[in-house]
Amino acid sequence: MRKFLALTRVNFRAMLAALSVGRTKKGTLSSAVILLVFGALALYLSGTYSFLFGAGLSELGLAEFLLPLMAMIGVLAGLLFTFAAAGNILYGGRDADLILSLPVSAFSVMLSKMLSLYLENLVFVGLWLIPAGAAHMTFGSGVSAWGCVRLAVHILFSPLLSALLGALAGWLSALASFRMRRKALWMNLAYLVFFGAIFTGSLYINNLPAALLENEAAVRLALNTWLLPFGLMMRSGAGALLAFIAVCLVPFLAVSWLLCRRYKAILSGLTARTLRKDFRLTRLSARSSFLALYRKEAGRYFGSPIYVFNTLFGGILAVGASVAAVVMRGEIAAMLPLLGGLDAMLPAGAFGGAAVLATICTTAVSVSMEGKTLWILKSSPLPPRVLFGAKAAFNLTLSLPCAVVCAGLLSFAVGLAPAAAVCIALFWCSVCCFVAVGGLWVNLFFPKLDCPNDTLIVKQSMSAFLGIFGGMLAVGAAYLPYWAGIALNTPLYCLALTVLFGAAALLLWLMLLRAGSRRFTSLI
Amino acid sequence: MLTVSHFSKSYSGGKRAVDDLSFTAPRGTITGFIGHNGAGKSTTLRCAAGILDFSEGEIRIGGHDVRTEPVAAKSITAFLPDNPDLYDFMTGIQYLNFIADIYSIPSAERTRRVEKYAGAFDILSVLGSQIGSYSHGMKQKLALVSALIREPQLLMLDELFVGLDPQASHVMKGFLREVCDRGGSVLFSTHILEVAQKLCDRIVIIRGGQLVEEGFTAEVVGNSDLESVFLELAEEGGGDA
Repeated sequence: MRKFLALTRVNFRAMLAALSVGRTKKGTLSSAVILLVFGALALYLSGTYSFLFGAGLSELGLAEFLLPLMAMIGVLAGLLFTFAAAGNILYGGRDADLILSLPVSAFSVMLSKMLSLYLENLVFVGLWLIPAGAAHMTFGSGVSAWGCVRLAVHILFSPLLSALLGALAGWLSALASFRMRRKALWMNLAYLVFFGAIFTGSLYINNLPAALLENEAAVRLALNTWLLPFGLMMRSGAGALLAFIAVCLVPFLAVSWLLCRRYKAILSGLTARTLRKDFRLTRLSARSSFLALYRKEAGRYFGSPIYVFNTLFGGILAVGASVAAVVMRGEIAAMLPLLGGLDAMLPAGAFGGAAVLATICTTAVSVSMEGKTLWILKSSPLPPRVLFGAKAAFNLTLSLPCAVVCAGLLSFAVGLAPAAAVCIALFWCSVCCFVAVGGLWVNLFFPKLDCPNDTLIVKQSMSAFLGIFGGMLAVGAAYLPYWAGIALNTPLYCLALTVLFGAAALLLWLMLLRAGSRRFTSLI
Repeated sequence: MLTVSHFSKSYSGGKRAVDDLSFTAPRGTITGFIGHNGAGKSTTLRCAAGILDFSEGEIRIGGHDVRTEPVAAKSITAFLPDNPDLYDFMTGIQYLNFIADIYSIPSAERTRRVEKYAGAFDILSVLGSQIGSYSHGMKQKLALVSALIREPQLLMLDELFVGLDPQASHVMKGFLREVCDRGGSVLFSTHILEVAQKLCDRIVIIRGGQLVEEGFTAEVVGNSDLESVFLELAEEGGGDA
């Protein structure tokens, strides 16, 4: 038991260390800020949807479904966050050789890693269920001590389910890693399908109460069979609560045991080397150093599905929504007058689009992604404009086409005048430039060069966090006049913001060439 | 070729890794850089390569100050750390081509050099495989080939012979001499004193970040051997050399 606790403590500390930037107060603070914001995000989203669904389901006499419904969404959201990380947490540690050489059982090793996954899920899923429980008490069961005990148990044990699903996803991903050729390509496609499912699901999320009413019998049947853990949440007895604990805990332990049986085999497969010895040298083509760096960035990017997944999420979302808008052109035309007309909705569209596009920020982690290979760039004769230019240019290669395509499709879908469409497209492009250059600054100030795997860099580092939310925050600040109720001509305002964001990007770029270069040199 | 003058380097927290170090690695010579673990060898090499910054002293490569003219200095230098991590997502040939692009080596010339050096280290046939699938020794050889194809005027290698098989070590010694014959200079750190004594024209010994001895190998060693000289110097320094 002592060995198991020591392993768990090591894994947990490794997870916390991955969140921080160094062992300084700044690092600890950054970990706290990341956890705080993710927690606040879970509370905010869950609070909004729990009370919205609670009111809707209550009217339909289906309030008892609220908690299982929100728990299901929470577990799926937890899986979304864990999906990519699980493979690395379970199989990607650099300490595998060391751990396996210790006198501890494979089950202890696997269970300690599974508990790390659980703890990661507990932060999000646990906080997600607090507002859901509050809404459930408000609209259904009422407040009672027993209700609070049940909620606490649900909060503690539900994350076992998302950790369990994440572990299975991680196992499949690890298995694919050594069984498949072109693994990155398949993983990227899998992520794309996953995205598509989430996007489609989010389009229909508001119709959930009505869909529940239509299919109540089928839903009840599912909750009593393959969705039993969630079905047990609807029952108030002590027996049901114990059964809930059992159906969460037993599969978790069982999967840990099953995975541990193949643990060494998978690790061996992952470290096995297959060399092809049939290379024939032909004349090598020469490129400029800029193009060489640009191609390197592209290779690094598309070779890491988690990097693609985290930084292209906004782009896929924006393009998907634009295509959906074109397909649903008729419905939009009918709905717009009810919402106050195109002029009233334009600010939300223009700034919402800019905020989503601002999440395409590969540069915010591109220096961290160099990791232990940073010495290659630092010892190379590369002027800062080439070094940083290649990273920024690759970011823009991803974001600018999304901005232009989305502006074109959305303008067509809502019937926006060409001049106004151009203004919005320019605004979005300027935001993309600002984010691409700003991301480099963020990463130079919050580098994470010692991570054992990509997931920790692109999902859990301070620079990744700032890369995603920093741009959105800047766009949010530009939207403030609308919140203050100031009437503005949106296309003209967008044009003014184009100049502002463009100038800010240029200023940051010029500073990058001098101060940024010094900062880069000082990185260790 | 390499001139280090009154160079000092402190890390955050005040630890002084190198203190007022001065030495040269002239053209046409192989210089061995010797010292115990933590003596400051890697720090010095990394600062000279432009990987670490420093504030005290001056390091010049081919007359270019590495702090004020870093691009010019790096253009004529090749540096390899003791455990060179390479881009695992690239194939061997992609990595060599990448380095050749960075150093603007013309197409025909890079093909010739890759054939020569990769052939000599017997890794030509595996250059189509991803670096992630290479063994430690093969990565080491690929890193060496990537340094040699630049045909640098200054070749700096940290713990050169660690991880190399005897055949590769033999080949490498020949290439080091070739660099010098072209008018270049080689500076490498090592713990293998027998090799240093046989191979190096000059020896630089440091202890606790400070210069202890510098000169032609024959002068430094005299009638003794390098190991005895090194241990003697270590004892003089209270055993902390």
